[in-house]
Amino acid sequence: MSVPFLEARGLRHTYLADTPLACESLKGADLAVEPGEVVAVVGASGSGKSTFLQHMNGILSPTHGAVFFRGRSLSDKATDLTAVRRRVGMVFQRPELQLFEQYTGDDVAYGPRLAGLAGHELGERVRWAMGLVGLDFHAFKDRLTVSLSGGERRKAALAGVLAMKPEGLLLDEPTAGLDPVSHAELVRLLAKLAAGGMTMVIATHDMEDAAALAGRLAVMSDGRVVFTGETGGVFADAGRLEELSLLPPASVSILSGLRKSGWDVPAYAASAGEAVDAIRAALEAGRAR
Amino acid sequence: MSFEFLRSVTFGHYIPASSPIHRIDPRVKIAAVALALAALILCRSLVLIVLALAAVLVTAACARVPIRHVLRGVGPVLPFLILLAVLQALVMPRAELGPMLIRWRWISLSAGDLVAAAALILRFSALIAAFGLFSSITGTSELAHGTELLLSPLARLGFPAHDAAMVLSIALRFVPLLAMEAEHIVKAQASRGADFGRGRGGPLARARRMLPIYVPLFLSALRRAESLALAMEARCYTGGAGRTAPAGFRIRWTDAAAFICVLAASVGLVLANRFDPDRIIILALFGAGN
Repeated sequence: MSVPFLEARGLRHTYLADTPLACESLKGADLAVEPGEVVAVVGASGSGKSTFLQHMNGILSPTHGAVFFRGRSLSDKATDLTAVRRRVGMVFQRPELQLFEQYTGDDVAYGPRLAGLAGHELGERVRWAMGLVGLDFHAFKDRLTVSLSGGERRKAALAGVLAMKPEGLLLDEPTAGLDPVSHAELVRLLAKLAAGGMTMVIATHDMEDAAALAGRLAVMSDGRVVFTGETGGVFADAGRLEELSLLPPASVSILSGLRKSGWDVPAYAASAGEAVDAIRAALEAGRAR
Repeated sequence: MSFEFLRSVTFGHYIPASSPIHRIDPRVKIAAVALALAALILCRSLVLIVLALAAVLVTAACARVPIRHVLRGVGPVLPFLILLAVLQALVMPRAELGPMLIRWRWISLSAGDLVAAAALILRFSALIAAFGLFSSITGTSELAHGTELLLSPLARLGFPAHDAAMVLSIALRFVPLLAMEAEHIVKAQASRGADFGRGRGGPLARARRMLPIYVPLFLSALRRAESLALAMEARCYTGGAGRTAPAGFRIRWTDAAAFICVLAASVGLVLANRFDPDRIIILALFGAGN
């Protein structure tokens, strides 16, 4: 078996350890992410998703357990954490609040500049990254970060991470709080990155996004990964969904409603488009009969 | 390296518990901590400072506040304290008290200097512990109401007592918030390849690495203050007259007794200095020196 891209083994983390306010957020979480795979981490607020994600590139270090990047433990003193963080980019929750440079171009350039790029090469990298997320280089590079709209800020934050040319992305609720158009744009962009072979771990509450992007679901509850399974299989299994207290995406609810009234449609469709195709096929089959 | 800045902040960390010490009237708590801090600053004797520190820690134990929590604030400033103490001991001879241990060019160290250096470190630790204890047993709203009530006599002279109390309590409340905000920024920068906490370079290089944090931290603090102001407006905050406290505060005899205890201890601490107990002990141990 190949070495996983990222692997968490028995992660435990306590915030404010040794204080009266100590709070155990992770209680032994395990997950292995294969190269090129997209995993959606879902679960109620407070189940430890953000904490878990922040362990995956060594921003937080576990109280027990370890994270392995391509087989190397991040807790190992010899591991160059900065290099790992460059290869596993992290987009934080509400990244628009974490743009720290004054100008958009500078903020995107932060990562590659620290990696040693300069001059023309740096400019090209920033142009490339901004192009990737759909921010026009000339129009946006000298815009004040505070003057950007919410959606633009999130794109800029993503560009800042992509500018480091990471092999993997950790995304903490990437689409939360976006308007529907920006939301759809961002999902399309992430799907494009995934198709290009980017490994991704996405923490999300949005089951539509999980269905559209992720091949596998990891369900977190009370600081543990309580279940992992193929996205389609989980959403098609009503009993399992109930057991995990998850709500399926609308496309799946529509199909399961039709199935209950006797339609011969598949139990799972990753998107509204796929559901429409399935329903149309069922209609046509019925007409032929 | 952990990015948990919040862990080393003890200010503004109220620890809810229901000990008799928690239940003391906030006015008494404020006045008592002010008295204790003043007495500690005026106190010069090591022996008395040790006694005062012990008294603070015993009070913390009675209030069921962990002693480590109260003393946590000492850690970060300890290197500076030690540096100060060493400098003071070597170059500022306090008194040629007790036997002279080192005399070399302009450096001289007597037993008295050592005692004074220890007193400096412990005095600061006791100050931090006293304030740490105070903030662990006093909630922010208690602090605001207490300050307001204490300042209310001045309000008759036109002093904005309520606003001053509000400003104070918000400022204290912002300390842990700023720590969290700094944590976010450092994490965001570290995840994009910044070199935090790797311990490379001297203290100056490390301080320079912290510089890019301050500007965004300042900006986000302003942003937070703005949204706080909006939230207060939205809930029709007017301040001053007409605002009531959720619970009436009344000084009970236990409060009075607690205050008298602290007052007596503080006055005793300052007065006992006159006898210079350190001198007595050093002279008893070493004789008059050389």
